Amino acid sequence: MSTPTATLEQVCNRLQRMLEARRDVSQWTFVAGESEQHQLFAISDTIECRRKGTTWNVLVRVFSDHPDGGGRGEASIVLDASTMDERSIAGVVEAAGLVKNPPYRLVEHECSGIGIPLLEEKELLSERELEQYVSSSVRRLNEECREACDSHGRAGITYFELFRNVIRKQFRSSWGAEVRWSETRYLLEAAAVAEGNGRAAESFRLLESRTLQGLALEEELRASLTEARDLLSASGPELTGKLPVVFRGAALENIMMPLVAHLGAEYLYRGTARYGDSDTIETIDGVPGFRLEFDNGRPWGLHSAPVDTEGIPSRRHVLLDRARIVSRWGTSQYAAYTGLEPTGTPMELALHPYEEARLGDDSLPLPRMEIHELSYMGPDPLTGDISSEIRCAYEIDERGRRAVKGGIVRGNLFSNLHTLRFSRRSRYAPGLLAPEWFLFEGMEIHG
Amino acid sequence: MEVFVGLEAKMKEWVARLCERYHYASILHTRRKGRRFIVMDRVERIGFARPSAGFAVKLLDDEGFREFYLPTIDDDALEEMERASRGTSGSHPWLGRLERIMKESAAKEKGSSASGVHPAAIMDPERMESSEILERLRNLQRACREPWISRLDLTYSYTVCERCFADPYSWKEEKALLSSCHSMVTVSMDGDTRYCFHVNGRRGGVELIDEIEEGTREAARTARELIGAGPPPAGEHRLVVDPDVAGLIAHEAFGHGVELDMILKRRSNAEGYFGSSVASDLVSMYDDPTLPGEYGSYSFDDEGVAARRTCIVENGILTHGLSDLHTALRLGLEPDHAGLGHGRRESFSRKAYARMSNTYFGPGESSREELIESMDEGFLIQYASNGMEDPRGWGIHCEALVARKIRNGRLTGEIFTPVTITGYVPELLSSIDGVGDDLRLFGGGACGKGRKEFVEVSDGGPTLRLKARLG
Repeated sequence: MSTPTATLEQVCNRLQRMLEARRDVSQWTFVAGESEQHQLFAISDTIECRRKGTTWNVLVRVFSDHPDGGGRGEASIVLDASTMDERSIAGVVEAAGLVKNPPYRLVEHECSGIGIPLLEEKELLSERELEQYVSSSVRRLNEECREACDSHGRAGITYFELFRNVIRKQFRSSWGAEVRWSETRYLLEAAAVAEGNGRAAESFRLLESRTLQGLALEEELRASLTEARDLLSASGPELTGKLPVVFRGAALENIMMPLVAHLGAEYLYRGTARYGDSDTIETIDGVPGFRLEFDNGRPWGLHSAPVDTEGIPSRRHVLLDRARIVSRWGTSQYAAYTGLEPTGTPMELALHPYEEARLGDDSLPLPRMEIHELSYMGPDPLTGDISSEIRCAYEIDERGRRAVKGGIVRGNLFSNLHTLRFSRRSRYAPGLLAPEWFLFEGMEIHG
Repeated sequence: MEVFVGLEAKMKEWVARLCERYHYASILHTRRKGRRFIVMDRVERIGFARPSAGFAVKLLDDEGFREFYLPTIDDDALEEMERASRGTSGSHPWLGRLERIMKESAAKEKGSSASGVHPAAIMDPERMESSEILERLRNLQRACREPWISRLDLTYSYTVCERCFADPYSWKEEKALLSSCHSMVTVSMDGDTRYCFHVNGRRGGVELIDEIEEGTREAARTARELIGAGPPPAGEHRLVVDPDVAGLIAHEAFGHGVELDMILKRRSNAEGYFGSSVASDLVSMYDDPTLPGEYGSYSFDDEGVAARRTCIVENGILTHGLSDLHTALRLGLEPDHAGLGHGRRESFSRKAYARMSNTYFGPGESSREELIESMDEGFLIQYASNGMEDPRGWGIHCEALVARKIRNGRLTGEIFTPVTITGYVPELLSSIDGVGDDLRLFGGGACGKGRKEFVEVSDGGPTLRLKARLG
């Protein structure tokens, strides 16, 4: 696709000159990104719409210090081809001047020599090759399904959308830091639908990865087809009340969000941190058997970047080790207000269980509920409450394994931290390297 | 419209040029800009909304639809689009219907007015200094402050959205100003921390800030009441739901359940139920982008099709779904189909899908008090927060913050949180046996398709009495 009239380098140079000319700006940073995207939309395995395009934009943050310790002003703006001018810069600088937050400064890291692999290494497939690759994979899976069609009914991938994004990025700051990097992002959305005996069921997948192989397309869609077929015979839960509950796959999404929020400088500063300024969580939530950390520089991490928008270089930070709070995370502002080291926001978490908290797949308790997908997995970050409808689960007892759809799982993350047990194997999902499953002892299932 | 001076002739010329290589060509141009103001305790923020200015070019050749999106269009871009054509040797099977839909839409547009859908703001934020807007938020924070409130965060944001559209049959343009203002109140007491919120969003301006004062005070009182509260007893219960919760039910039920592109993907159960009873005969449900001043309103959709009110459920019977252009062509919908005009894009760089606009239950005749007084035992559900669709399974998942116990027609003072409402959509809608006369719409939120493609919508309804599972 034809690119904007200026290259990314020219855009960055022009913007830097405009910002350097402002005497009323104490510090500034920007992250510019130019994205080339190819989008495919298919019904079954047939492409029905193709889209391609190029866009660019720049996130600019400006900081101004009011005289006589009057506080720090700050504002941000995203610029694109329609707004990249002196007027926009004047507007954001004026806005920063209106804000009077308690004083702080961005730490002026050098940021030189940082590099992490985020760009698909081998040569990218052409648009036609990419179409053929994904269409033929889906066709093959659907043919397998047709051959396996039995009394349980038919199943197939009924649509997919594939996006490939190649992005070039640059970070620059008022203190001369410059970082350039490139990245790829793939996104595949698809549904498997099974129909038979007058019923229908679906299993949905949204897969994201830095590489095409990383989508594990056939493996994931095959698992989705299995779930859809299983759900044809699913009913509401027979096992109810308090029982061991295993969360897997998509059901693990965001599960650690409340704990991470309460280990942040913002909650501490605003007086809502569960653990106050204590260095342990033991007195409130017991001793969990894991280490929680983050590393926004994780190679191939979907949310990884060498540096964040404040110029904080990405590196590993341990937050929690069993019950001990090793460090808290914080943006430059809230870290300064609470006397902590600024770490940036955790984007790539890792949870490592200790041996005492690990279980083999064959040691899981009976009876139990294994949840693969919830209607919505968004534990309340402040309270840690979990309450969601079961979209796909299996209840397992002495009688066997039955698919479950419907009913509610509910409980609280914090009150379960010390009961958590984990699989021995780990897997990477966007933003979370963690065991394949988490076992909660104290969740409730309601029909 | 002043902002598009010079563009109309160019876009028409580009369309004409592309139509030499394609069966059909249309160009949508969108520009979005805005600001966000946040006032928290001791910390403030001003940000400028992510701009989104560019063109979405929709083309039909022998292979099907092809789209290009780009920030600017020049000769190089046009040449590349021309080269990408897979030919127009035959007459594409969709072409005749496509032409009829777009011609019908062009004729409809002549009789409508974008200004009717987007009334002018009382206080236009584009004409106000940032300092004045910030000061209004600070004043509101001071006015609502109570010693027992731990955190009181206020946000006002607005987006100016300008769109114009050209195809061989029409030129359309509109400008909309969307504002939303919300408050979040946190209370910490007795070792427990709880919160509550109030949201107001619609076409309009800075006047929305003044409108949330009472709602913010009410949210603060509710947050304090929630201290020590636990979840409601699980199981099937009789419920009275507030208009915002009714809106969430409408949105997640026949809302997402009747987006017709989901039928093409075999992800919707609705296909076999049009003309059938899916709800109590007290229930009528609509999606109407032509409502003046609402958060999801527009005069034409992002494929240039004129907006129209769609009756989704009439007296309990499922009547129409919501359609984008591609789906209409695949399903063979006629140009006068009531569900057309719902093709919406997150931005020019995203595809148009069948989407909702302003989705709501029609009003009934009962007062809210009558609905509560008529209930022996149950719960009043308030403060809708989140939901998720399940069009294939017709399941429903709605989250709310508050359940209040009702016994013998009165609120007992017992309060519970959090609340999850689940059920099978036709069962839940068929259980509605009381419909209030207090229809209200609630904007300020965004709706995703699956887990992406967010567009501004509103939803609402009157107070409803129904039966559903609580968790």
